[in-house]
Amino acid sequence: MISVTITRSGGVAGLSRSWHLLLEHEEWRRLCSRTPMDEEPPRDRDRYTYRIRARDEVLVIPESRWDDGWRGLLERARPGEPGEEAVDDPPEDPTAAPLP
Amino acid sequence: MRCSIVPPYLLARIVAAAEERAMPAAARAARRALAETPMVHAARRREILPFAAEDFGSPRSPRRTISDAESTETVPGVPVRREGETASGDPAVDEAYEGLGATFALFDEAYDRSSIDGRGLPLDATVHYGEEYDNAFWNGERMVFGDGDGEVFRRFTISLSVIGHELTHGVTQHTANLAYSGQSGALNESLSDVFGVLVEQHRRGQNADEASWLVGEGLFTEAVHGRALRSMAAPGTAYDDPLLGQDPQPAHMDQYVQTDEDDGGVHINSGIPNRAFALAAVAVGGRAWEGVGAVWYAALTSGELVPDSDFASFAGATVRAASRRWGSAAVEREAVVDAWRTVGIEPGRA
Repeated sequence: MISVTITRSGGVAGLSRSWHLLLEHEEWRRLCSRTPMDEEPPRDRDRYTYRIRARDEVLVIPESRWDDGWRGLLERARPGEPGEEAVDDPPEDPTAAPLP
Repeated sequence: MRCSIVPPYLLARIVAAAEERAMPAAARAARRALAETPMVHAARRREILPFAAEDFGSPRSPRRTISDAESTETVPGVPVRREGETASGDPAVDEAYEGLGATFALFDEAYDRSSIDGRGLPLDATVHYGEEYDNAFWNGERMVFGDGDGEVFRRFTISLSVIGHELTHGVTQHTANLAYSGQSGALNESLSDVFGVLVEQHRRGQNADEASWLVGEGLFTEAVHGRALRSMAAPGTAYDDPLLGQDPQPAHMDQYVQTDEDDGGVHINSGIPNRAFALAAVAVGGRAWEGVGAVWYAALTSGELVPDSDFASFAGATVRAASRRWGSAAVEREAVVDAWRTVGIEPGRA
């Protein structure tokens, strides 16, 4: 199993939220293979951005590409879902990394 | 298609009554059920069509079309109110319609700009996007508003400054087109906050010293310990809540936040130029949209900015715009320079 963290940031409110879940290695590799390739920068403003981290790998997915497959992953990571380790973290404190 | 035991006319009455009695959860549920009624869909589509090219008249008045996504994440949705039509009775639809009009009025009356592109572009918005969707956004062509979850956020059309914020993203896209990352992205966000609050001040006829300088006031439910999404006058103080945490906006360049989230902290570091604007506007006094607001608009449209302009570059453009407006020795120009220096930014030279 591999520990995965999903962080949603952005939105007009600029609030970040994180969720965790455990995945089989094979499923994680499958998710990595369907990550959208780099495209023209979206013209969307104030939409969410999802970052999915596992070990030293990070997938960055704009909300406009957040399809049913990714939604399913997030549903599994939400608190209260059976069979998953689900923790609803408080927002990160971005002031923890100020410029020197 | 889900079947409903409640007939459409009764669902419509539930929507109206629940909204009147401030029962948004009930209204949402009834609205969803109503939206899934095929007969209602067909009737609404026959009655209201989007604007066609021949409908366009004078470019100095807005052409608004508000559509209803009916709790789906598909845009544009079903058109439900367009220019000149009477209020629909749906608060989200009517707030969006009025908010687009108020934003059009600010840019037209204060800056002689006709709509987003300066050429009378029709203003399109979609409401009731998604299910309990906690956001509003600009998709490059239209404004899109969620209903909120009812626990943290109310519907996003409830805040005029948020409507002005979203539409200003369109103005920036058609002018300096600031890249949405790092400092240029934070400037992009700040400009939306600046003109968002100016839409409110213009509508209310407020002077700078009477204004709240809050972005998104009224958006949080009573359960949240917070006044708004952001405070331009005092970044970092808008909310402090057990669930949301503390407002992370810095008020000075010394606290600039380096982060990979939020496109490099565009909604966080916007606090720095936001505060510079509020400081300058209060120092100059009077109606902010006429003085410092006009200077910020002149900087945005000056042609001096590039997509990756940083804070210092934009500050320099505002100082030059202030010189053109008031003269190089004017106290108002000095107020602009002082405001930038107070937040730790030395205005750049051309």
